[in-house]
Amino acid sequence: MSTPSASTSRDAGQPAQDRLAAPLAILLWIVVLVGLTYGIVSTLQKVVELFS
Amino acid sequence: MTSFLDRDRTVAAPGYRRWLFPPAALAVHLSIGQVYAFSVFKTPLVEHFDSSLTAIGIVFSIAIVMLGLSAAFLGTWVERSGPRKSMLAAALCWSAGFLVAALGVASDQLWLVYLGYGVIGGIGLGVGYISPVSTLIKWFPDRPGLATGLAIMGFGGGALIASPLSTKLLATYGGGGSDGIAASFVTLGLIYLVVMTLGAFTARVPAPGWAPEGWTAPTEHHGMRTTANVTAANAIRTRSFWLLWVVLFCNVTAGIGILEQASPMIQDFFGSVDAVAAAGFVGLLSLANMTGRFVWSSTSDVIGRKRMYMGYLGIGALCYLTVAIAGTSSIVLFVVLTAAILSFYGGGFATVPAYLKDLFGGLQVGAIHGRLLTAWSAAGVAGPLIVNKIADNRTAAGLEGADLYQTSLYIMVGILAVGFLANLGIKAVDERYHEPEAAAATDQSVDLRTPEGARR
Repeated sequence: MSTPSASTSRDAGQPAQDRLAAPLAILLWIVVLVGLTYGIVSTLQKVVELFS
Repeated sequence: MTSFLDRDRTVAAPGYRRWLFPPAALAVHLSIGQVYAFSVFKTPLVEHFDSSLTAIGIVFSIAIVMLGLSAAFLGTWVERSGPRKSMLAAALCWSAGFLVAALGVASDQLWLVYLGYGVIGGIGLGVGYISPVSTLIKWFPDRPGLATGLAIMGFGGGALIASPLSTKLLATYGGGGSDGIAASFVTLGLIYLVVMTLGAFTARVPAPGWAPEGWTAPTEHHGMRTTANVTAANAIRTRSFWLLWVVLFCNVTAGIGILEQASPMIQDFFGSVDAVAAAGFVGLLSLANMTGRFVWSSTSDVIGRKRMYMGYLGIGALCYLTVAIAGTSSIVLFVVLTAAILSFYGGGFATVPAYLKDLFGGLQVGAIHGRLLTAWSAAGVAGPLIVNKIADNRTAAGLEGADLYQTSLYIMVGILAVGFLANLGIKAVDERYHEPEAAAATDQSVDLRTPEGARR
């Protein structure tokens, strides 16, 4: 999707950071989606009480 | 360590996909969104300190005021420092706030709870709220409403997670009573520290000149969408900034009016609704608040920000009017209308960064957003004050049920009408406030280390 141009200067640690970026972001997507699902399901259980 | 956090060390490598940034923004917003679930701790804190609801309510008020102040005063620092440093600062403040508050509970010092959750945590709220905004807009220049809506949706969703989680923690540590408050605060503080730090380390800014594939930045002004840039210092000198401040203030005041009183309100409107069902109503409003942030903000990319706010404020006023006139006739009608109002409340929050980007460009949109959030602090005081004061007066006059809220509802219609007119008055920013072309060329870049240098 993206077509980045050359980035700024990096030191030796930067490539390692870059390699970790995608797995960390995917892990965060999972954490975020699990959290949101937990919150929505817990809330919907209470909403059911309103109309029951 | 310091350099590792700097903006130019967070530039994305070639091949980095922009959809890897939103979870970092969501991690921060879902964490700080816990503030909307603070009410879970209200009764246990009242019992623990043997104090009044008002004394405990001050904790939340301090946090919201500090949110607005820190967003306003630290906005330029956040813009200059970049998302990694500012998200980490927010993580440290937010979690330290919980730990200091836990110390206050453990040592029976209420002032430490004010200092911890209110002041220190409130700074974390303000910095965390604005930290991902300008980076999101730079990653999604083609869909800024969608991008900021996604993140700010997290702030609404944070309460949905924190509310049941906090209830479970209190039950686990203290049987649901006040004994488990300190341990619950420590647990939440540590969870949020981990999640927000992960978000900070994941954060990347686009390389200078980066643009989404197939998209080119517009070269001509289109309506209110400018191709120029305005600094935060200049933005607050424009009429449009203050009109937008009024718009946000009115929209938030009207939404908070219902949000604050949701549980007693539905029970007063419909005698058959008990406390458990009312909790379901509050949950439904939270869902509407969260969903509106994403759905309406994304819609604004298609129909434009000004039209979107005309909807929030105009249709919102009609919803309030219908609740005032016919709200007691049907519980379904009442729930649908109030859910619509809350979805507009959330949508108003989420659409504002994109509105600011349209008006002032992307150069310092995070810092400008921070200054605008003082409207939230002011509305956080005004909204509940109007509804509570009028309800108290009408109770004293011997009224009950839906009659307690009629005057408040009509006042909210008037407030939304004022916001509607203010929105109509927002115009493209005069060229004399624009930065020179050289600064405009850095709009999509990351080089904001010396924004002061760009000021007139």
